[in-house]
Order: sequence, then C-alpha cells, then structure tokens
Amino acid sequence: MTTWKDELKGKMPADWAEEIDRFEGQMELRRSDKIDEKVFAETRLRRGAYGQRYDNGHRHDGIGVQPLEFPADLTKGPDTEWDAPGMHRIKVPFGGLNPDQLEVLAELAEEYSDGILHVTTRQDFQLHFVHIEDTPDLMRRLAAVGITTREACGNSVRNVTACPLAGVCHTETFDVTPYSHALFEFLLGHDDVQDFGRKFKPAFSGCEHEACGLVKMHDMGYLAQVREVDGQLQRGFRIYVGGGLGTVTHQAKILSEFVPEEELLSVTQAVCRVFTKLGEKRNRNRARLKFLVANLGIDEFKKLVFEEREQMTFDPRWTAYLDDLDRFAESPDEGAGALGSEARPSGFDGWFETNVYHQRQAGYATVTVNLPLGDLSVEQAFELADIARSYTPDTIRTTVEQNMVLRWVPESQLTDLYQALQGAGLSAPGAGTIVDITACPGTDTCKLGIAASRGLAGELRTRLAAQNGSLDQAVKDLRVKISGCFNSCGQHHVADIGFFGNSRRRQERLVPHFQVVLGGKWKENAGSYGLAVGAVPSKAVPDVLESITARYAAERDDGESFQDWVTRLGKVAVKLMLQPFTEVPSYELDTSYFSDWGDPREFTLGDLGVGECAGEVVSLFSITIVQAEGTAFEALVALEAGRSEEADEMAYRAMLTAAKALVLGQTPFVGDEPSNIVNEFRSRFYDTELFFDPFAKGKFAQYLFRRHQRNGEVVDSEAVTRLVEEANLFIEAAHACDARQASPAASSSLL
Amino acid sequence: MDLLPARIKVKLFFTDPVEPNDFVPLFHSWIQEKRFEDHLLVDVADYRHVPQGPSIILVAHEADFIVDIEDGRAGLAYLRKRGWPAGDPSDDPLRVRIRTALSGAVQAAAALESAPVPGIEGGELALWLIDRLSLRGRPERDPVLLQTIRQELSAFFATDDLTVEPLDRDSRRSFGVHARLPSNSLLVPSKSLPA
Repeated sequence: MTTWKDELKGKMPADWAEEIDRFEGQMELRRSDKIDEKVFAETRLRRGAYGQRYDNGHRHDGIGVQPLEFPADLTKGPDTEWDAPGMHRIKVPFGGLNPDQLEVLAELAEEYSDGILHVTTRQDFQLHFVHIEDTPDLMRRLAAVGITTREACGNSVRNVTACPLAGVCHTETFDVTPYSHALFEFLLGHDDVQDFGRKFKPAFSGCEHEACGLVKMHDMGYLAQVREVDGQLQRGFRIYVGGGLGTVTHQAKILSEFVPEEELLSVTQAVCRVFTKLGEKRNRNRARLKFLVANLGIDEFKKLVFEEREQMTFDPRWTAYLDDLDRFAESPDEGAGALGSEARPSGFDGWFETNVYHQRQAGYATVTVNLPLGDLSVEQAFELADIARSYTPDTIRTTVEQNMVLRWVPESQLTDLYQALQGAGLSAPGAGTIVDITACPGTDTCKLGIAASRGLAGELRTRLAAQNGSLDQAVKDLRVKISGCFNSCGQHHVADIGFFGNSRRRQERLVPHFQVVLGGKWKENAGSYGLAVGAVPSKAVPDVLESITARYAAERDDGESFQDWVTRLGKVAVKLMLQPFTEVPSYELDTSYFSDWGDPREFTLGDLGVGECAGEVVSLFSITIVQAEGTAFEALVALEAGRSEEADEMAYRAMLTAAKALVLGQTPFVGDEPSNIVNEFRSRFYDTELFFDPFAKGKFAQYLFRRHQRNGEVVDSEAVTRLVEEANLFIEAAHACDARQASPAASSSLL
Repeated sequence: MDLLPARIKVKLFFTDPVEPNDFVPLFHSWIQEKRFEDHLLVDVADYRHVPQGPSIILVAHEADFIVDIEDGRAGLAYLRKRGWPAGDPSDDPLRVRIRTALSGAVQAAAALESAPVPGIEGGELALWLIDRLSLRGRPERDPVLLQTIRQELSAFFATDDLTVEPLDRDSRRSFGVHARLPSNSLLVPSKSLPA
C-alpha cells in the first residue's frame, strides 16, 4: 500500500523529511517502550504535537470525574494517553502563506482534525483533536508545501512573527519580511537552540508606534531602524530582549539601539548561547529569558552577549541571506485602481471602514478577513484560497489578532472581493475593533485553561456585533483580549480591556470568574501592560464590559485614550465600578453562575455534595482572604500613585494574609508575625504540596518566599509592579488551594 | 475493492431548521449517559460561530457526531475516524467500512428521536470517502467506486430503489455521493417538531 512517505518522496526538503522519519522512528520506540515517556513528550512537542485537555484520561462530565478509557495501554508523555486527541501547532513564519499551502492546511483539517483551522495569537495554525498516529503524515504533507511544525512547541525557538502589513505599510522603516524569514531558517534546528530551559519567542516590527510586531512583549524583538554611515543608509534593528507576558509580565529591555543587518543573525545566536549557558533549566517557572535578563540586569546581560559574539566563529549563513532579500518582494497581478462609483453591496461600507487598509502603494489595499475566534472551516479555507488567487498575487498572511489578510488587492476590485468573501461567510466587519475579540483556546481544548475564554469571547462578540452600529466610536476602537488562565496566551495584558480566567468558591461549589485587566497598550509594540483590578463572575463579564465602555464613552475627555481615562479614574473608582458585579447568587437562586459560557456542565462539583453544604457558615478562609484582596488592591493604588515602597510592603502583606487564610483552616494559632506565617504556610502547604498547582507546582508560593527573604531590601519600581501582580496570583492560588481542599475531585486544573 | 479510506462521513438531513445551540446540552448529556456503548465519547466542540462548518461536534475516539451546516443544509453527520471493524474476510473491506459508517449515522439519528430537535429527513443521505492518498488518481466519477457504494447502500437499506449520484463538488474536496432512497425504507422515520 502506498504511503504519504512514498508519495511525497523528493517533494520535501531532504532534511525536513529526515527529521520526520526520525520522529516516526521515535514513535515506534515509544510503542515498544524503548524510550521514556518524558523523553518522547519533549520529542513530540518539538515537532508541534501538543497535549490537549482530558488527555490524562479523565474528564469531569458535570456530575463527576469520569475515566476516559482509551484503547491503547500506552502513554505519549507523563499522564498523557497515547490515543487521546492532541493539538498540532503549525508554524507560519511572519504569517506568510500562499493559496496552495492554505489548501493543504484545509485537507489536513478535514483528514486528521475536526474540520476547523484555528489561527493563533502568534500567527500559527492549530489543528485540534489530532491523533498522534496521524502526525508524521500530517508533517510530510506540510513539508511538501514548505511548511514545518518543527519547534512549534517545546523548549525551542517558536514561530518568528512579524507585522502582517510589512512591505505595504505607510509608516514602516523597511520591510522586515525577509529578515524574519532568514531568522526562522537560521534558527530552525540550530545546535545552539536545542538546550533551552523554556520556549523562546522572536518578533519583528517595521514601525515603532503601531502595534506592528509587538516586539516589547517578546523574548527577542527586532525593530527596523536605518542610520547613515559615511553618507550611505544602513539597515539594522533595535533589539529588545527579555519581554514577556505569562503569569508575570516583563517589559523588554533594549539590548542594542542598532545592530546592523549583517549582525542580526549572529547577535541573535549569541543571545541564544547565553540563554543556553545561563538560563534556568530545572525550575521551568523561572526559565524564560525574561528572568535571566531581570536577574543579571540588562547591562550585564548585554556584556555577556557581546562577549559571546566576539568568541563565535564566522558562519557564512549570517550574511548569505542578504544577497537574496528580494526573494520575498511582492508585486501585484493586476494594475492599481481606485474604488469605482458603482453601487455598493449591502454591508460593504461598514466592512470597508474597518477591514480595508490602503497600502503605501497607491490603488492597492490589504483586506482583513475577520475570523470569529480565529476559526475557519475546511470549506471556507478552500474558498479563501480561490479568492486569494483571484484577487491577490497569492499573498495571504495570518495576524496575531487571529485573522488573515489578503494583500495587494486592487481597490477597484474591492466590491467584487467583498461579495466573494460574503459568499464564503468571510465578510464579517469590525476587524481591529472591539468586536474583533482575541481569545486563547481556554477550557475548550487547553490543558491549563481555567475558564471558557472562547465561550466568553463568542458571547461578547455576538452582543457587541448586535449593537455595533450604536457604539460610540471611541468604544469601537477598543481592544478586548481574553485568556482562559493567567498564562496570557490571549494577550490580555496588552488589551485596553483584558480578562483572564480564574475561579472562586461559593459555598461548596466553584464559580468561573475572570480577572479584569485594564489599561494595557496595544500600540507602540505592546507599549505597556494593564493591571488586574478585580475578579468578577464569568456570567457577569458582558455587563461589566458594557458598564466600563458606557462610562468611558460618557466621561472621556475629548481625545482621551482609554489608558489615560483609566489612569485619571484611578483604581479605587475602577474597583467601585466592578463592585456591583462581583456578587454570586446562591446556587439555589441562580444556577447559571455555576457553569461557564457555552458549557452547560456545572463548573465543578465537589465530593462534599449538596447535602453537606456549609450553608450560611462563612469560613475563616473566606473572611481572611477578603482582607488579603483588599490589601492587594491597596498595593495597586499605592503603585499607581507612585508610592513604590508602600506598594511593595502592601503586596507582601497581601500574600502573608492569604497564606494566613489557608493556615487558619488548620490551626488558629498562627498570629501576625511574618516569619511565623511563612513557616506555618511552608510546613503545612508547601512541604506537603497542598498549595501546589497541578501544572505550575510550587511557583506561586515562591513569590511569597522570595519577598519574605528580601525583607527590607529596596527594589526598583518595575520589580514592585511585578510583586503586585505576584500578590494577586498568590491570592488566586490560595483560592484554588482552598477549592481543591473543599472538592478535590472537581478541581484538578484550577490554576 | 482495495480502497480503504481512513475516514468516511455520512450525513443525514434535518427536516426543519435547527438551532445548533440545542445540541450543546444534548451532546453533553450523551457523554454523561455514555449513550453509545461502542464509542468512547470525549468532549463537545462548539463552532457555532463558524459559518458553513461543523457547528457542534460530539467528539468520540472512534468518530465525530456533527451538527453539520457545511453545505448550507443542516444535517447530522457521522464521521468515522478509526476503530474500523475487521469484518468478514469474504466481505469487500470498503463495503465493511461504508456499512460501519452508515450504522453509526443511523445509531446517531436514532438517539435523536427522543430529543427536542427536528427529525431526520427520510429519503436521502450524503456520503464522503475522506482520504486523498487512497483516492488519488481515480476519476472524479469513478464508476467502480459508485457501484460499490450503491451496492452497499442497497444492501444496508434492503432496497434496489435508490439513486446514487456523485456530488458535483470542487475536485479538491473529498469524493462524495448523494443518495436518494424511498422514504418508506428509512431507518429513522421523520418526526415532527415538538410543540
């Protein structure tokens, strides 16, 4: 019987084909138990084969945790069933794609997945519900059209992202496309990037002031620059390092104001070598580059990088790509033309206003195909490939807002294009507006998801789209981003209004909640991060959003940005605004709060059952944790007022109080002395691992321990900002710990 | 026939418009009830926001049960993915697979009988063989393949009174047929909408 391997022989790059064969060999070794499950897990992750929710063979069906008895008695990683469906991530460097590649992606979605192509917040594609046995052929079929899944997951260099407008943008310094591709090619499988303690995400931007490639929130960011040397213009990049969202955000630091283009790859390699040598390996929670940069300080890090660079032997690949920069130059199929005066189809004007970008090249437009939640069907993907062929020189790109763009559309063809997109169900307006909500997979498919980010995004999108015509323009321009947990895959920190999932206990039941994060800045390459201002029940989020946006529309000064308005309002007023939405009715009064959006299952149901309901008894934990939350909020207010030392102290006290809240459940004799609280907490909750999150393990406890150890030592304001965030996460972890203790079976993935 | 498609999808059509939202709690309840003994039901995927796609999917290890609106007509599709029975050695393996997929679709439709959703259209279905490797090089209206499908449909529904036409679709898409059957030979009688 012919196989895809036979069929595609000679059509794949030889080294990629070899790599896939090697992976298939490792699958065989795992089947015969000749390699350890942990080793195999990292192996498959480095090929893009990721775990998916319930792959541990258990699922809460709304009544209780039920076993999922997959047929094979084999694992593909610790606690990961071989037969359980997985997610496959597909790298798309700079988001660049042609119609042939899109068609292959559609074929794979139909043959190996659930018929949906999902665009991620890093310009990748993801296929869900993929069986591990199908992955080698999936990879081969992609390789045959020049796409790889290698190092799409795992402790490796992830997709190299870039602005989807690169090359057609009005404000870019130059087109970063060929540079981003060169970096992708150079680092893929490179020896110096195989021993990282954690993942490494690079991004390219052409402009400083737009959102562009969001370089300031990446491990390594490249901002296009030009300088004049001896009368000649020289291209290069300002390089940022150590940025990141995740649980605790870090703003990137400038490694160099200008690295000439011929040094781009070598300096990156030097950064990777320093990261490999000095980056944390054992504690994955401290292993991202941002921690190394923060620990060493940017000056020391910079010194080490350039020393490393000096010692490296010249590699011709560092500059070879510069001879081939035109490889990615695009030219239109059709002549430019202005939009005619012909009758516009219904809906065209609204779509034109939000989804069409007039390119630098007069008469051409880049059109955003607004994908709800980043999803498109197989049928739509085939149709979009046809549309791209008809209206563009085969130039499609994915975006970090989970959309796709069609570049080089003659403006004279926009009405025809609109109708073609309409026929494919791809003409939704509102790209880049409040309707165009970004969300990570959350509890739909992610193993770490706490709340239903996609369910919430879908609900908000539906409601906002219905009132889009009546929304104030300032509100329309806001960005909403949602993550299912604190890990920030939905990029909630850089939204005007962000949400991340968590949970709270109400009597003996858990209630899905979202933390509200306000004031992040999308523009200026993720210019600043928002701060959490309070948790509200998941079912209250639509009302919260409506309340915030209505007040912003009513109270903003002329031209006042959302960030400025939030700052002017102050955290206390913001907190007060949320207050009415924080109440959770009792289960008997309203069960809807106890399930999440789009999921009728009760959020969790503990073993205690209704019969043992604590009724009106309020536990010591509940009373004390509220005090901790109040203190954490005071820390936020102090931070906002620039009282850094006070914020530091308050954040510390908030963590101590939250720790005490837990300890009080075991002993009333803890007192207020910090060392006592820390010692009691350590022995009762850390050493026993009761506080351990199923995935993050003891990470959140370390926030308290580190601050306690530092007692009195002054730190800079950035470190205090981080501590305030850590205090909030510690409190969330305390809530989760309390919930786990109350209903252990129902809360395997609280944090 | 030495053709063994990795996936086969059978779609039955609803008699009336459906509200995909109704299927979310229904599919979750099927998981709770372990509704199909021979399927390991895993989860419900919600794609109501995607036009022309699988709207709601009950994902099982062996197959997906889909509220399918892909071609503009709402239907209940059964997509068999793995766990194919070996069948009798004397049987044509392709026909065994088609039969398995038909059985799954019928089983799913029967499970809908008591649910507050529209009934299934009596006299028609669509069937796709989803495997580009196995099907490469075959003519678009392969008479041998059509004949095999027809034979199995005829045997399965115990009728010779049926028409099987290849779906006139984009050549990039999977090979599919549309079949018409006498309404009285239907496995799942059409039922009226609940009041």
